[in-house]
Amino acid sequence: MTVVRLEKLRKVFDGRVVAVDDVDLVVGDGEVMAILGPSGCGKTTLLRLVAGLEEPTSGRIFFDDRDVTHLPTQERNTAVVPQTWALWPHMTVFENVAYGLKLKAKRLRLTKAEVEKRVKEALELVGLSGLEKRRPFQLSGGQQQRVALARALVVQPEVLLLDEPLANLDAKLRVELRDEVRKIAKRLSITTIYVTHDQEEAFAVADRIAVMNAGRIMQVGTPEEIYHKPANFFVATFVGRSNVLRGRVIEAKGEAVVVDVGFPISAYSREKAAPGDEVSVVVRPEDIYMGNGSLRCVVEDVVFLGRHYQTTLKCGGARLKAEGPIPPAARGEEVAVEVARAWAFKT
Amino acid sequence: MRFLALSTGVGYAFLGLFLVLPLVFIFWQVLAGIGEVYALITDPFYINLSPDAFRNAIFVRPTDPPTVVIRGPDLGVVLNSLWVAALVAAADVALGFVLAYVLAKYVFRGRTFLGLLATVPLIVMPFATAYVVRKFLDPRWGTLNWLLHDVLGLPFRLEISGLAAVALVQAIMYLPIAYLNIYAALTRVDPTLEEVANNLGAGERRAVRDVVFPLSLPGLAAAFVLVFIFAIDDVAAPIIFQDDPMARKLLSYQVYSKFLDQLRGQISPTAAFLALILLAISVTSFLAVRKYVGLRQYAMLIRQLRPRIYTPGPLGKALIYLVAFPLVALASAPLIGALVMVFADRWTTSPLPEGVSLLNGAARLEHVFTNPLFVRGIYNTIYYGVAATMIMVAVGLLIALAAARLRGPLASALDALATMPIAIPGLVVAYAYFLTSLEFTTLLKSFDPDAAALLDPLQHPEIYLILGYSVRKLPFVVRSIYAGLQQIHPSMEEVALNLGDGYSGVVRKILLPLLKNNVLSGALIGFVYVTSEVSLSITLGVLKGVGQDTAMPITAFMRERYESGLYGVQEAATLGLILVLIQVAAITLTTRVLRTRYGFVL
Ligand SMILES: Nc1ncnc2c1ncn2[C@@H]1O[C@H](COP(=O)(O)OP(=O)(O)O)[C@@H](O)[C@H]1O
Ligand SMILES: [Mg+2]
Repeated sequence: MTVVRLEKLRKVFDGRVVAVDDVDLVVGDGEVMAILGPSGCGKTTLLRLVAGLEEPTSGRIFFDDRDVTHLPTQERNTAVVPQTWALWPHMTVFENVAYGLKLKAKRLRLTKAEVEKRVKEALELVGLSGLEKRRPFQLSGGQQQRVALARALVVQPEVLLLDEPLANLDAKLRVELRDEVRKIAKRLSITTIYVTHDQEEAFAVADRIAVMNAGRIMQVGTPEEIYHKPANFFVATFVGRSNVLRGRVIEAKGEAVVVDVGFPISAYSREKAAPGDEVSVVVRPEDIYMGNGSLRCVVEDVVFLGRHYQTTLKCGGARLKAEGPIPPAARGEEVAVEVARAWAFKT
Repeated sequence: MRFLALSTGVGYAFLGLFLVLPLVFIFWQVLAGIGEVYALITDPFYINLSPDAFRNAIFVRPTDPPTVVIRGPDLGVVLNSLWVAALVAAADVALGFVLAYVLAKYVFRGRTFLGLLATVPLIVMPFATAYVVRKFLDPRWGTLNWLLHDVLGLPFRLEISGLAAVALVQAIMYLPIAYLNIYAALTRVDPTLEEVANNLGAGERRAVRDVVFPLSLPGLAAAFVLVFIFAIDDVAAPIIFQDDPMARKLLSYQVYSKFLDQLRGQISPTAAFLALILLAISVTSFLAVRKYVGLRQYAMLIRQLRPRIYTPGPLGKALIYLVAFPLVALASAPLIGALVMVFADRWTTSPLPEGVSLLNGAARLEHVFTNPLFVRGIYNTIYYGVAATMIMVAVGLLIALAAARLRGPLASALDALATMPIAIPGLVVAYAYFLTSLEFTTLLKSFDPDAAALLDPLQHPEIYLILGYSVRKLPFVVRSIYAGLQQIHPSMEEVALNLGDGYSGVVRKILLPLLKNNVLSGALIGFVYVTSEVSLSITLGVLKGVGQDTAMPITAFMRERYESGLYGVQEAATLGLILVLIQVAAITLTTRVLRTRYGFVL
């Protein structure tokens, strides 16, 4: 129904704090886009700009071909779920959910009975039937979150905007609800922007992910692209776990380089590094295999983490953490190691 | 934990001895003279519901040009107090809401200036400011009629007198209290609650009606009750208009004048009963909203708040420029007038002050400082302020600790009791102290004449003044320290206790350093309140009379000067200026120490 397009969107607070820095982003119709980034990187501000709760310093916002940059929030037909959920404590669950619909009832020519019916449906959708008369403080955290979601969904917004909607819940509930949120968004095929600082949550809910840092979008892509083809050092280290090794390029051929990090290591470099360049090499722990390979390392420590073993290796001058099956050598012994994949980024 | 039990004990002992006991003593007086009290209820002087009461509320006097006279209905002392206070509270809450809303929610040019100006009337120059309002309203020489008749050329004159005038003065005096409470209530509403409403389609007015207003309603109720209590307890405004017999028909004035009668040795159950009614009204209304009264906002340092902001539309602009600015100008005019009076030659038969010059001001200040009596008054004010503040900090710290760290009914009752003095009229405290101490020293005389002489309220009223001040203003100190304690996680104390320190050591080494700001700002607010206190000062304060060793503080001198005629009013204003300077000095000193800006000063 709606494609959201941001053009060079910028927000500066108090003339100093650049919260959103020339962001270009397109969210497709019915797509769930996660905005992933560390806290303070400008995710909430970006979301509020789309909602019309902040005025951009410069840049434009389009819904399809309509320029909504200066449209007040009440006319944008978006629905926000803030991080705190912001349920109105003086209203019942029903009143909370019905509020936006009642405001729109006249324009949509809805009768009172139809409003009630839609509210009922929305509450059913989030699994809260029967709690209409409760007040927000009489609900559990998970239930409050669902009310906030129902309140946003019931007005059938063009764009659904979720700001860390699960951050205030415990881990188990978070996993449960994130699947549910995705299911609902997909079922209703609403264009959704989902802000989170939790990588796993972003991967679980999103069709595509925009990784953000210090007000800028660092990379946009599917979870696979983000994980397997990080565009820059920030994305490579922020997403997933990683070993970082500093060194100098000794050989370069297209995107393939060999870097001396205390031992020679082959890596991809998207930036066309040349011999002599200082680079940081990023290696994912699951890409380090033990048992054969050309690299000789000493096993320093082995810990069991449930899903796998984490092995600390000393290779040349460098230290590497590997994750996988139990290593074929005991502590203090030597082992053959192969690094299956690595990326080099200029520093 | 013995320490906390001990502080609870100290708290109860202090408040029991210096608050509850004297008040109970009033009861006893009422019971002793129940016959006289019964006669009182049936006297139309006290309660008058006949249609007559409204006859002179508003009328036109056939002068040339005709004079519209507004005096308000005379329903008898008890009901007058109620309607005046209720009207003042209602007007201030309505106007305070407009002011607070405009300042909290709109961005516009001059916003900072307006906010600053709105708090100006918090600076207290008792009697002097009220005189300015009287001067403004004066039917013959007043500024208002000069404006209406001579400047605007309207074909009538306006006379606001009697209870209506008292109500007007009080409404101006207490507007900032309403405004600050409502402002705090508005900014306490989580802005995202409003943003979500906006986002779902509600415009500004709709969101305010559906979300902001209902959620700040408790704050509005608290503002109403606070202003109501302040107005019903106020005696300065009735004194200003006391030439008009109608202005005397208020509970506070009656208690005050009967207090003066008693100095001549006639204890009257009527006065006790009136005091009791005043007490009952104040305490009941306070209890109704106690939960919502955030005494903190008077005492807190500026906090960054980001309420949802709107660009004002046409209605908003009208509110800003046609209501808020004129209102604030009107409310700060009396203080400006009082200051101008210090520098004016005179302000008697002219609509505006005459002969304003710096020289006049310098001469008046010099006159004050060369008069040993006035110097004594200044000394007294500072001495009482410092002594009462020390008591308040010591007792307040113990009470706040007990209330914040002990659970159970005993601790919360202590907390409630320590907040109570807000609602207890100063006049009632004065009256109760006077009766109790007189009775006690009379009893004591036969056992220990020396001690009796030492505690005699007629010879050493300063003892009772200092105690009375510290009881009355204690709530602000307790709240300030309590607020600080809530920020400190008890685990900090537990860790120290666990390492083997005693609780008094924990208080000294851990809590006090962390609470330094709260203690200091509580002390400051207490000091400022004590130095500008009126009710005790003009009653207990004058017990010893005006001699070389007078116990009168500045405010008592201001009333005394005010009553001594026209020239005296300007002396009263000058004394008021010195009072303000003392307060400003205290505020500056504290903010220097704390290195913060001071938000609201009452
Ligand atoms: N209203 C505001 N005024 C000034 N600075 C702000 C405001 N809102 C956010 N910021 C600043 O903008 C930056 C981004 O904040 P935010 O969007 O909340 O980040 P995130 O949601 O990613 O944690 C932060 O440095 C924050 O301090
Ligand atoms: Mg955020």
